[in-house]
Amino acid sequence: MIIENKFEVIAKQEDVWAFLMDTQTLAGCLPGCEEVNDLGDGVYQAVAVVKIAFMKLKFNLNVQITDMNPPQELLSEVDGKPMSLVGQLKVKARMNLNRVEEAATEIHYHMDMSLTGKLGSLGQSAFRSKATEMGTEFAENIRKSLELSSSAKG
Amino acid sequence: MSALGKSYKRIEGMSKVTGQTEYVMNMEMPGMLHVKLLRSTIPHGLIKHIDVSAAEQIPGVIRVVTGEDLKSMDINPYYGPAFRDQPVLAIDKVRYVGDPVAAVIAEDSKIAEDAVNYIDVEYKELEPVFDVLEAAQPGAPVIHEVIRPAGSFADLKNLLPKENSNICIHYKLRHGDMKKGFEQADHIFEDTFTTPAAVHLPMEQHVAIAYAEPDGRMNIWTANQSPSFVRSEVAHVLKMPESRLRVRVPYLGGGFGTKLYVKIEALVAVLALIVKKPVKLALTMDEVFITLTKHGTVFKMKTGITNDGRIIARHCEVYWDGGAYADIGPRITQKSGFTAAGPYDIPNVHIDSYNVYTNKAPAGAFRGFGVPQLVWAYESQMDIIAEKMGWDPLNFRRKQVLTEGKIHATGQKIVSVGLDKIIEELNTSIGWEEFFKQKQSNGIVKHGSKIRAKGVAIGLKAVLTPSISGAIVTLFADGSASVYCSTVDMGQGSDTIMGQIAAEVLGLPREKVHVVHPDTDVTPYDTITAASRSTFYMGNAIYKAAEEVKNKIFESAAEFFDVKPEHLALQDEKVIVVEKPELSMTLGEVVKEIFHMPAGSIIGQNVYESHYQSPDPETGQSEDIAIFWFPGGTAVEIEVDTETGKIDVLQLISVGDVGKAINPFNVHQQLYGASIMQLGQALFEECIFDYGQMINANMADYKVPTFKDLPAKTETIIVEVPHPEGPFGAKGVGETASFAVQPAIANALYQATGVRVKDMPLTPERVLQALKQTTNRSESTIRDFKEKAKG
Repeated sequence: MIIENKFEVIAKQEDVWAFLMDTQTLAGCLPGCEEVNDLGDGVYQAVAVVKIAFMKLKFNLNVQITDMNPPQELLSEVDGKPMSLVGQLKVKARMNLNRVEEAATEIHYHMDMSLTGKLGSLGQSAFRSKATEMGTEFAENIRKSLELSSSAKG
Repeated sequence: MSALGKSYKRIEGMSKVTGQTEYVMNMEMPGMLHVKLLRSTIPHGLIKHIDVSAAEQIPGVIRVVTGEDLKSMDINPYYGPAFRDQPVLAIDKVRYVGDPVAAVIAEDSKIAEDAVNYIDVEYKELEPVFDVLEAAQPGAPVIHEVIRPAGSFADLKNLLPKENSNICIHYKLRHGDMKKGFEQADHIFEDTFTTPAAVHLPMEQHVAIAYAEPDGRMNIWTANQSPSFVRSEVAHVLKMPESRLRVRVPYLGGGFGTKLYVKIEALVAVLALIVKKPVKLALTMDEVFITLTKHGTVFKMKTGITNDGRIIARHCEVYWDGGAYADIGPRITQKSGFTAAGPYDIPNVHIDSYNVYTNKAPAGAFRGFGVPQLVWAYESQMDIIAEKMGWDPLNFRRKQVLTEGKIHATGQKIVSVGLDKIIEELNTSIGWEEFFKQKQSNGIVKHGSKIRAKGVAIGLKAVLTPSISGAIVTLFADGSASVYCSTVDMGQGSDTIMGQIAAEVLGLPREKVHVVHPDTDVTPYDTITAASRSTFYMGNAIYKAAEEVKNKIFESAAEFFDVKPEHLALQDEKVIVVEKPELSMTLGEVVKEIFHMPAGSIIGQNVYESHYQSPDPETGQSEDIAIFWFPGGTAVEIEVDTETGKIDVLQLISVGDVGKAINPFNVHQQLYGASIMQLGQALFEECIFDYGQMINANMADYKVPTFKDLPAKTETIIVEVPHPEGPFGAKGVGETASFAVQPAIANALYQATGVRVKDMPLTPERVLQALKQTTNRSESTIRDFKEKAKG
């Protein structure tokens, strides 16, 4: 399942990059993210909670940054296991930051996500709409934090 | 003749519609435990560690069993009809998303279902391969490092798997001179056709109960189409003599191929041995989807034709996507593979048919046994050729269809195959000639966005050969009788027909004959209930067993009347002297005459076995490859909406040559059922995979035909070309109407729009996309057409 979106923030490309590279600020923007631990070498461990309809799923996530080209491109692979539900979540993600103008950057993300086991049988369309909803929230959160901090700086 | 040719109603009909019929799903035993399975979440990988401790602590959980437990038992943990490649539970390795990894045994199924979530499995992932063509390439990730041929069936004992390859069988047919054939051709057509994986979805899921008696004797009740095979294969797994294992099968709520061979029976038997209590495993519908699928196929077809309308050479390269385990795929690859060139008299034919492992749910038998996938290709190409050459597609078929005495590409002489009659029935029933003439002169008329057109296609299948059916017929002292046979009544009405055959021979009313359900302690060996084989094979066995009873009756009565046995007949429950009908005695009186008291039973038995000549492994040639062949054809009228791409089938006509319709109503129902099932395959059924996970594995996302999808007009037409060896001339019928539905619809779509779709199914999305592509292209849609300049 491919999930793709882009949105613009009023901030410099380098600032956006620095913001996203800071584990804790990024975690603050990710909907449902409860904790993130930086294990070094581009490996992170996270716990996230997702509510889909009447179900509340808690995931253990392993994030591995596979390649990066600052301040333009970040490639990562995410491996997730829901707690107390048989299944697996795998994501290959690519994020690109494109300079729109001096102080405006477009964030473009592309995720190839697969869900297997009982998790996979919950229905892709439910996950897709949830992911889209979370993407919108993520964009909002980033805009708020970044634009707030840059306006505070300015 | 009393019972023959009569449309008896199903003997179980009333019991079914009033909810009285017994199914394994409803069976309970005292102290019975329930099983739920943990299935692999990855498509390919090694099992590093399984932690079952949290699950086993849940109250009500009796035991969690994994592959590690199997290793410590004295059993053969692998089973399968062609290769013993499938483990009872995954051992060290998983091969598809859904592969059973652990079994939770609990006091009730809810507890077991919950406990499954608390098993922790750590995998080392291996690179998976999903595409059948990629999997067939050298260097693809190898799914089975070791392959063990099973040797259970005579036709499969020569299978030699390639090591370090996912190709588990390559079947070859070589007939005539391919090079010369193509040199003589005026035109050559090359096309690739595909079909997707799809599923059977019987209303009753796979379900089995196993119970080991205190002395270890194993009992299995199962919803399975092959009780005799379950006995022998589970006996092999348990290292037990077959006599220590008893398999019983009541009515089935549908099978269609998904309940053939061993599915969950070996697992429940092993679990029953471990916990020493009765255990029941009932799959959910979601699990049925990933237990067995229909083979997806890629069929590359190259055909040489001459300007006078003859097919002179044909090369067929077929890839069968077998999924993670071979199941019966090797037999499909071979037995349906050899029909891949179509029901035509073609002097030069090469067939290469490959069964290939991939990391997806295993594929196996599906009503039609691979033939519909092949007919899809060859009958689509027939119309492609006819259109390009400006010929009437039906005439093009008439010109080379196999008729009596012609030699099939396998080397066998064709006997009792009414293909020519089927073509004529299709022509008159759908009004093909008028339609085609009209189209040639006036073109196709469009009504708004909707266009109507007609299409036809034919197909031919060879019955499973060699195979064996045994039957016992017993006449009781009161003149009633029982038939003991292992044919499973799975909705096709075999109980009705088998009883009818015995009643006919013994001159009894149908109601006086009872058909005993498969019980391997009681009913003799039968290969399988599938492949449209039961009426022929089991019908013959019952016919001959009943004849033996009849002969015993005549022997005694001849002595009594002092006449020769050939002067006697059985009629209205009496033995009569044909010349002097006033001389008669009831069957009860005969029994009394034989046993000197009004008790005892007269027993007849027969084991009917086919004749067969194993094909040459290099050329596939055999003069006796199938005991009978049975053809079918479909004609349709469709209406396609060019704005939405949606196809409505207005008329669906199925024609089948059944040899002799023993119960015409049942035969019509079989033709009808197969055609509607295939309508779903043609228009929307398809398993969709994402990284190995079947993502539409539920009844909400996977579409099957419902009442609103049924054609406004359906017709089933019986053709009877009797087979010299069939009981009363009968052949098979269960699959006949499944062969040609897909290409008939695609051919009609082509007549309507000029759009040729080569990939199944014909969903509105696919049709619409094809329509858009065609309007953007000025060239013919037949991109593969090559014209050769003639010197």
